[in-house]
Amino acid sequence: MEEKAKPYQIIILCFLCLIWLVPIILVFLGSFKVGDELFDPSKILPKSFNLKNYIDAFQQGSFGLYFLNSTYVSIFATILTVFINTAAGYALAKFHFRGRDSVLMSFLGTLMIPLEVIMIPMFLVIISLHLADTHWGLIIPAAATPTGVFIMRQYLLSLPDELLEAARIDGASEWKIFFNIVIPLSLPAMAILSIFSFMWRWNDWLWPRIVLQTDEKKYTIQVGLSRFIGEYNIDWGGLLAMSVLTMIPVLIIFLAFQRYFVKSLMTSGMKG
Amino acid sequence: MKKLLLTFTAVSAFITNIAMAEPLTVLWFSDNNEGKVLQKLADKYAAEENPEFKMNLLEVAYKELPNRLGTMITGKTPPAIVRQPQPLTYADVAVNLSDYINPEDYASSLMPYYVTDDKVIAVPMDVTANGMIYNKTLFDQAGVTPPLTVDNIWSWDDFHTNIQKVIDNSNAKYGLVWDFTPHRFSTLMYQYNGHFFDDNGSLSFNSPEVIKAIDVFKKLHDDGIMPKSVWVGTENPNSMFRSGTVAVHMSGSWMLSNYNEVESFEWGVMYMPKGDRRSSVPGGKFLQAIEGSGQEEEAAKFIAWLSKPENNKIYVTETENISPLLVNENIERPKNAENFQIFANELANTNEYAAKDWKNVNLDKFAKQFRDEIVDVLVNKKTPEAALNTAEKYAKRKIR
Repeated sequence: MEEKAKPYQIIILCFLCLIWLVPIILVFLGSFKVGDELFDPSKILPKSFNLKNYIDAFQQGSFGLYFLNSTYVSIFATILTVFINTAAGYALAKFHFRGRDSVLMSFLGTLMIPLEVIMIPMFLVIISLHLADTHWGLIIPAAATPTGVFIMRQYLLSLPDELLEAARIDGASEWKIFFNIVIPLSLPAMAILSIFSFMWRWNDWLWPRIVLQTDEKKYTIQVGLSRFIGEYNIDWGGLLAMSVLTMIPVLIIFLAFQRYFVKSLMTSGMKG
Repeated sequence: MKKLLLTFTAVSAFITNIAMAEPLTVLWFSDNNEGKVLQKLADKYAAEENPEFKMNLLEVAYKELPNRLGTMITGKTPPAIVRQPQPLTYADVAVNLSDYINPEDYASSLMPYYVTDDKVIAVPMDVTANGMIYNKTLFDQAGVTPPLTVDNIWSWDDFHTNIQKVIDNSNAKYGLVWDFTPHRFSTLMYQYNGHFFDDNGSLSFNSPEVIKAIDVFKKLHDDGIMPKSVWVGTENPNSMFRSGTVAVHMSGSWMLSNYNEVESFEWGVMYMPKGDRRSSVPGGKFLQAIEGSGQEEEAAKFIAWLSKPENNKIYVTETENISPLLVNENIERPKNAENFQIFANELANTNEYAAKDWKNVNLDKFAKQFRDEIVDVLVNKKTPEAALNTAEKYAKRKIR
């Protein structure tokens, strides 16, 4: 039987929501302020919803192009990440081979190594493969993530072995089983991984900053945002406007896949 | 699924293999509209001189510039041109521009920054001067007249008294905000005849003169003229001044284009107070061509064209900067003409050690620590003497 939330619970939850939302709301409102409006702390609302900061940022910088670059990198990286991690998770969950658990442990062990430790050797590999200054240099290194492999492996453990055995008895090849049975049944987990992967790639700054050296037209939007920061001045209007725009795609992806995300959170504690 | 994979591969191959023409890469950082103006000049250059000329303007944040340039040079993909605050750092890889420009066309105080061993390693693009910008509305409210002529220049005691009047009789919350950089602090140091290096290049800032400057600075904080939130906290002085609640911003000429956007109060430039003497601190940006780009000659030609008086005039008037060219000393400006005259006068009365110190590449190695030692003095963690002793030990270790 569903229990209705009590009024005080709703108030507490709304208050907590506000704490999280206030910085985002201030960024959104600030993006419409021009001139001195931004520096007057007594005025929260802008005088008008003026698009000047957005228009100026697009006209002065190639932000339309950076947006497309970020979209392209994030989408292709997500597709590659989900495919590779699902395949790896399936192998680690459903195939029994010598050293399987050691392989899984070594994948998980790499979670303890931050990017800053491995970025120099990774960059040298990128250089030798002629992937520096290319979007593939952003897409390929991040394709196989230990977190993604772990998520998919844990989800696929719940896949009935009998289903796979039945398919094998019927003569299906392993690739046919993977594409026709495993992937359709893994959609909830793949949706969650897609959200995470898209967010990671969209918000990534350090690796694109390292890989994209000489061609400004290949910048992603996070790297492009640094153009607003000069030696003495920060163009706050442009920075806030572009920051608002960078939030929108992630919001859309989350809204598109949220039912899988919320469902998995709600059922994670249930047995049977 | 197979069709999807094939389409994916084809689309990616197409996008990543589109052939691009070879443009001239310019590594740049902008305050306000400088990148936009450079692009406009590049289009003019293409129209007048070379229709095939294309510029790849690689804009980065100022703080990223040294890392990016170093990485590009190490990776053997140097930019053809870089906008440099400190050309001497890369003197070894700079193209010699002696055949393209004449240093005698430029202000002599800048020469140590870009001429070394008879080699012209960069060309000045614009000059900056430290100075004070004041909130005219607050001064008018308080009935205080700022020093706008050389005859009325205040001492720091006069400044203290007059700014306190502004705070007491207007909507000002604070009298003065000061940029949190060693470069800006050094203005006060030079006004008391302090300097970082002596004529032999040895460290010389641990001196009674610098202690006097620190004492003046600390008094402004202790008496509430300056908020501690800038030098001890993380408050941005530009934002504070633009809120209209601060009477004076100790900054420089580069802020004029930023403050042109201010509509809620009137502002202007006033003469800085003097210590034992007057002084500002010169600065500037230079264009440097880097060897190894494969486009050295084209880069040198573009720099030489930008350095022509008529083209430099376009750049400095539209970006609100001071021209380094002697022939452009008194150019007509649509805005801020009087303000630039004050900055020019400040530069003309500057301690000669200001340029000598700031061209020294060793200063970068300890300037930040020097600034942080002053913060310790402001919070009463150290005396000025102890702070300078610590800074000196650190500096000696760093430039060994």
